[in-house]
Amino acid sequence: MNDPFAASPGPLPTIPPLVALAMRPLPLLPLQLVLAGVLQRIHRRYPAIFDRLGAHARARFGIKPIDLPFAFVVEARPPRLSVVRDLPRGLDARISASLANLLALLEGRVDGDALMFSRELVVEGDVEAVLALRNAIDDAQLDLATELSSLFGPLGAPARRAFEAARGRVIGASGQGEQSR
Amino acid sequence: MMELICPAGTPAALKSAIDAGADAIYCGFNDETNARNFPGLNFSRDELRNGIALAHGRGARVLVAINTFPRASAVDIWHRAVDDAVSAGADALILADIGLMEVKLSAMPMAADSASTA
Repeated sequence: MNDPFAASPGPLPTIPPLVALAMRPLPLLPLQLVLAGVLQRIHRRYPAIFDRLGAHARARFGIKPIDLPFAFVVEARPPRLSVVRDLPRGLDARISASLANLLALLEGRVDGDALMFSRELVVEGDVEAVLALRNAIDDAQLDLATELSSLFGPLGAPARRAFEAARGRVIGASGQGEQSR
Repeated sequence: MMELICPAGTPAALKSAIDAGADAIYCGFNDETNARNFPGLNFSRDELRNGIALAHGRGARVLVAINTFPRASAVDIWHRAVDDAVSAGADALILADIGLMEVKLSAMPMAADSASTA
């Protein structure tokens, strides 16, 4: 469990606009293949996430990192992830925040309520579905570095170290901004 | 003697509380018998049974909150929640309804001081 008396961290960094601009022409398919693989793996390893979504398991969530030139559409059942330039209409809920805050939320390292009250996180649409998603993710205690590195087979260990270093740069050193869970 | 009693909305939170040294954890089912029946939170029957086993293995107690008032047309839901919590090994119940306490606890193995109103 994390130190509940740790100093409150400042806001997490955002992707510099020039970097985001440089990413705009990149094709989305490779990223979609990687992330869809991660979602499938999470589905296999943490089936309780999808049970915990209950009546919201078939909701379509739009996730928009506000500092990146693309967004994600995620469905839990069946597990499906698309990378899109702009979020389509007809989603059940939209979640917008910086990439760093979204990653920190996914790993339960920040308090979603605090982010929402400070307007660093914006939720539109079916808030109950988003609440179920947040609570389901919290319970799974995901470690993205582990999930991503699992895609690298025998190179998993060095890949994991690289992802942990990247995570440290994006959402701070281990423990920074973490909430008790 | 002071005791550390922590809430848990999920099995992960229950484990965190135990890891942090909680003497007891209180939680509830993921249905209308729980006043904090929010989307994605709380325990299924299996999760509660496993959570209680984990807690007991680490020397912690589990208090189960059945802290809403039964609907007259569906009291069975609350009776079943009490039965399931007791059979899962709950150390105490936190009840809101005195009538439910009167009806159920006379047949319960736990002592009267292991139930309270919420």
